[in-house]
Amino acid sequence: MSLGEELRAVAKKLLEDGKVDVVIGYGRGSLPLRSTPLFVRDAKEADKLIFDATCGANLARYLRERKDRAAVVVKGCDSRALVESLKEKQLDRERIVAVGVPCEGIVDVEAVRRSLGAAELLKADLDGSNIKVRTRRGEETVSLNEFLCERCRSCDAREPVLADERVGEAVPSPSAEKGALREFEAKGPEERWAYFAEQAEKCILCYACRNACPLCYCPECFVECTQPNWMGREHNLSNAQVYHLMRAIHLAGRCVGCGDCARACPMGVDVGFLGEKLREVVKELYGAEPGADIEAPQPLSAYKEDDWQEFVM
Amino acid sequence: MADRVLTKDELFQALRGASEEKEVVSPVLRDGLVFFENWSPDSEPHLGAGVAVRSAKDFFFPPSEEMLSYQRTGRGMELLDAAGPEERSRLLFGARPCAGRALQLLDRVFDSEDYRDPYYLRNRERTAIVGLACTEPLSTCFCTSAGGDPFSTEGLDALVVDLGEDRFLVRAFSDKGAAVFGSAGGEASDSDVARSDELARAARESASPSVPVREAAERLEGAFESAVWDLFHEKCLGCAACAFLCPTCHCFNIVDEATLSGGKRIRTWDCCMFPLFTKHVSGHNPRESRRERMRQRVMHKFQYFVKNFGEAACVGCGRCVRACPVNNDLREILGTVAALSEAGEG
Repeated sequence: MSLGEELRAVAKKLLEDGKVDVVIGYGRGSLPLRSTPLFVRDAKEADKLIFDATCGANLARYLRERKDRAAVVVKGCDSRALVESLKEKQLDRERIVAVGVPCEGIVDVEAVRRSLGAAELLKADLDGSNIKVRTRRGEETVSLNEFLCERCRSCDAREPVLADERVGEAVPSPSAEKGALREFEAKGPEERWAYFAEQAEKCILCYACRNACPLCYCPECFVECTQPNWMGREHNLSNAQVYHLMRAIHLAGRCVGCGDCARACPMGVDVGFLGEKLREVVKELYGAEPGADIEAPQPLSAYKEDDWQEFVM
Repeated sequence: MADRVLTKDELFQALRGASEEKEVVSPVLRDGLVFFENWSPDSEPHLGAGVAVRSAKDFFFPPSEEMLSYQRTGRGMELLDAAGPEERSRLLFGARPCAGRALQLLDRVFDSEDYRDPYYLRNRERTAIVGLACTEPLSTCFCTSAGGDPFSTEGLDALVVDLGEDRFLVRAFSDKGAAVFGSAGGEASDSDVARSDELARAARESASPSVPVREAAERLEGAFESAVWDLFHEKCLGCAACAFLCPTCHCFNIVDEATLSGGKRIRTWDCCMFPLFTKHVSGHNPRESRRERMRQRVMHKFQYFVKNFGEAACVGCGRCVRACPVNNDLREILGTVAALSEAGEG
């Protein structure tokens, strides 16, 4: 059985046995190299479920709003988000069936599009380790590996940590590729700030990044608060930077590095690069890896006698 | 002005000339994406295929703008006019025909009998719009389904058509448009015009299979309580990617921001998909969930706007389709809505 067939069989059975009211998974998107979240309530509809390198969306994000019993397809990163959400008591474990899938990285559609210049991406097919790409110029084959999402490159936890059902074969988790982060850190402060400004300049404050994130669930987000006015209303560089900085800090110790924020952005902002660094910092200072262990206390809300406290006078 | 034909150099020369007395904005290719940027001496405007990521509404109804400001003066305050010094006239070059149509739709809201928005109109009046015909519509474009056309001249002061072989047909429809090119290039011949018509026909045919905008508008009449609204909201993230990039979306928020010495009143883009959009001071929210907000979005653009102004608030530019983080495809939504029965049942 192929991975897709296995997944569909599991989904069908969960629905037929009445174990869940809905299966949240991925369906084929209407644009090249895109998938789209699918909410399947009928076993017959389960045939539409797919899983491949286009399935980037962190579906754990949809659970917090639901009152029904849901099965959710989760990759390694998504399952870690599930674990963090459970730790923060945002979800009811009894109402969730996690269906773990193996992931070897998600294709960065924007990167593929950029490589084509002004030629529109008309069609694309995943073909093993390649992508067959069609534009008005004709067809070309590119390597999937060359076009993986940045966050996927530095992923060292591909196996779902929480899975009630597991489909597919286990995939090895390579050691994290931190080259890009090290390269960035080697730059001077002006250059790093300039990069951040260049990214924030593109931001239209649509909050797609925030809304895609499973851990951004505050009923009142700091951007909506006017007393105090944490963030100005004007759409300018300063406010965009405040937004990204504050969100990164709010996610410190909680962000699982799924990279869905960057994928969600319609403007190609490098969202999440701050989060990437903060994950390292949290690991260094508190030995914590968000979402890795459901029993582990959260670094910023749990007290340990040997907590790092250099900053305390 | 009679139709003229210019080479690319002559076109850019005209823009260079214009930039001496006006602000000039033109489309530029960055990393495979088109953005409108201010003209500079080494600008290389992109005249090939591609639609700007951001819409031309940015130049008339920007993401945020100051409406007024004040300074505290001892025990009183002094109101400062946000109009500022006389702004230069401006040329928006290379907008697509859908941009011209979109501005006409925005005019219905910001320049009506009941209300003339001074901020919008200031920008409208000082700007000449020279469009670039779409010889290669994107696969996500559906302007022909939304009352438009890849070679439409509506709302434009002039239109440039790439005839190929470094020949650009330029047609002006107003004094503003004619003034940009003056007597540059040469007069267009009948065969130039015929070539343009041929390109228009080909473009029209390739602009996406029919998206049922009109049928959807008809079916939406009385569909407020329909179960169809259960279908589209679940995967939606409730962000503003679609609304902010849409050339006709125009909802806004007004806030006052004050410091100890003064303050300002600003207008910013708002989005009906944000929960805060209709939240009352009492805490009650008439559009409690994404289901109600999605219904509002679709009804506003495809039903209420039609009732109020006779056409849908959509020009088929496809930005929402391309931008949506979860690929919630408006074309599919309209298809589902159009398939509703008369009674609003799916």
